[in-house]
Amino acid sequence: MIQIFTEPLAYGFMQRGMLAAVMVGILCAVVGCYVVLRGMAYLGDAISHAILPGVAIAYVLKGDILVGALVAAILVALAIGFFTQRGNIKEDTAIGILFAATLSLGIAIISTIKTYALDLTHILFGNVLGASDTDLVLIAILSVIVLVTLLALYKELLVVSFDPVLAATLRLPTNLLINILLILIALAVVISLQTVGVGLVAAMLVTPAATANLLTRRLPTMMLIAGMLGALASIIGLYLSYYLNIASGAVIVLTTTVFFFIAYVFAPARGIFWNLRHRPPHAAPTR
Amino acid sequence: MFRARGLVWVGCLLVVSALASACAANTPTPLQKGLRVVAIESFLADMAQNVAGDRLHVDTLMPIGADPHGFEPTPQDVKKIAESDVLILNGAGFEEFLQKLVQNAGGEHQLIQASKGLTSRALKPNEPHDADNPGDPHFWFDPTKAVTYVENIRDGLTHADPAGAATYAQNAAAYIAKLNALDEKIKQQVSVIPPARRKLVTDHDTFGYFADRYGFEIVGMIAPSFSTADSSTAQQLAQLIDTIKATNAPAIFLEQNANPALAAQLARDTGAQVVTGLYTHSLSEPNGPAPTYIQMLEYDTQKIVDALK
Repeated sequence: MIQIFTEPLAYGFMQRGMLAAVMVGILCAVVGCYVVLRGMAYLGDAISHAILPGVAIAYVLKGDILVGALVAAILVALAIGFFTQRGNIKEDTAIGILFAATLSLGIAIISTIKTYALDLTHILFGNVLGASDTDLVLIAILSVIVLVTLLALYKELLVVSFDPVLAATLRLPTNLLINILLILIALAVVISLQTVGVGLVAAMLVTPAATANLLTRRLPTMMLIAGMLGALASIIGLYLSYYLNIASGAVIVLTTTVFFFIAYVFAPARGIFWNLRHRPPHAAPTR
Repeated sequence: MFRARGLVWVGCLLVVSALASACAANTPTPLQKGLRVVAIESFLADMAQNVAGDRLHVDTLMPIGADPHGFEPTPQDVKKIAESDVLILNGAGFEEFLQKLVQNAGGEHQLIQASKGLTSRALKPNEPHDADNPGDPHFWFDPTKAVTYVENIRDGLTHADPAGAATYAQNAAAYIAKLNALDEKIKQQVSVIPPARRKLVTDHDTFGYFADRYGFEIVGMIAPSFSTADSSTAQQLAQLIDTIKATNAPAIFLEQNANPALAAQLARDTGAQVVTGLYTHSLSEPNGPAPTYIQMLEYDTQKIVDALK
């Protein structure tokens, strides 16, 4: 029985894949709590595609592709912040506009590069099984930076995100804080993208946080549960992927989805089951 | 309650994975004598199997029919790489998309780069020359260049298994003779096409070496760069229509899995015929029309000849 768990780990690529997936799972899930609560579910997708022009320009200028991706992601995150903070465009609309624009800009730039064997879009589809030691170090460092910043600015980000009136009363630099949050999300997405691919990042940013949101109403608990779910889904998903011989990223995403459905049905106070048993339903407590 | 139910579900998942592992254990793995040899592409595996004969079994990494760009390896695939003793790849930048995976798969293997020693064909005049441009990697569309593949595979296998040197040399020589015969056969097949009609319009630039060898002119390509993920610009398409009309190219050739929509449109505007289903990056299933490298080239040549003669 124990062999089932140890056998895949005999391979270096599985160990590295497991570590990478768990770190990305935790990082994206924790950051994702803000994404879900602020209603920016498509931000991950948007930033994933926004890196394309950055990557293309970096390639043309023969610069480092990761740097190009990071710069592009941060610029787009700030642009989303800029359009939203003027107040006349909703965040999801800004994301939608910039998502399409950056993707097209990337394709436009790539279409002017005429060389063989150039498939820049492959950067969008990293594979967790190909994670290198450098990748692991990079994710570890960035995870620490992002998580520590989130922790340090915990109260400020909380107030700014959910109580604009209090934020104004406290004279918090709202725009600056929101921009910092967007940049943190952008960093998490770009680093994860390199290792696990766009599909996994987009899902990890939303699904574990949404699941945790069904189980608790307190942000710190939600972040803790989301991180644990992200890590657990990565581990279970990779094992299933190994034994069922199915692409790893897809299985990890589907595992998080199963978690979500379980919580959706059985969650205390919010799940379908609970509401059936407690008819008439309690007045749903609002955040 | 959630927790208990959750645990049950997690338990179910673990049972599923346990069952799956049992299944995996029951599937008989092909008998491998000694060395484990893995080729990335199916046509390379076929060439290598011809060299190895009965002495070794050559495994293929990419499933039949897989588009290299859409190929998403599973852990079992990476395991194949990690556990291989000899890994055969085309090289010349063709497997760039797998590079990271191969590098980080772990394990000790000898790499055989089948295209080693071959130089890329000259690029089209309007293409910028790039110092780190790896060039056109589709050497296998010229059987005389495939001879180099076979020689590299022979040398590689001999290095990995010196005891089999004589077998590999003998098998390789026999197979090279077949490749030379294939070259002659293609020349003959092509000879029925009037020179003025030896014009290829394809969906990607896969046929450069074929064109060079057998006197075809590559009139145009729907996606001018190698990548299948690339899309054409309006100007490129307009130019392509003009070129097809001006040169009277009789047909547009599409590879397996290509999207025929754009080609159909071009055909309507130019009167050219659309020929689909050429095998280029993967062999067909064993019962299909192109289960070996030699049959793949014969099949493609026949399709081209039928459309142009």
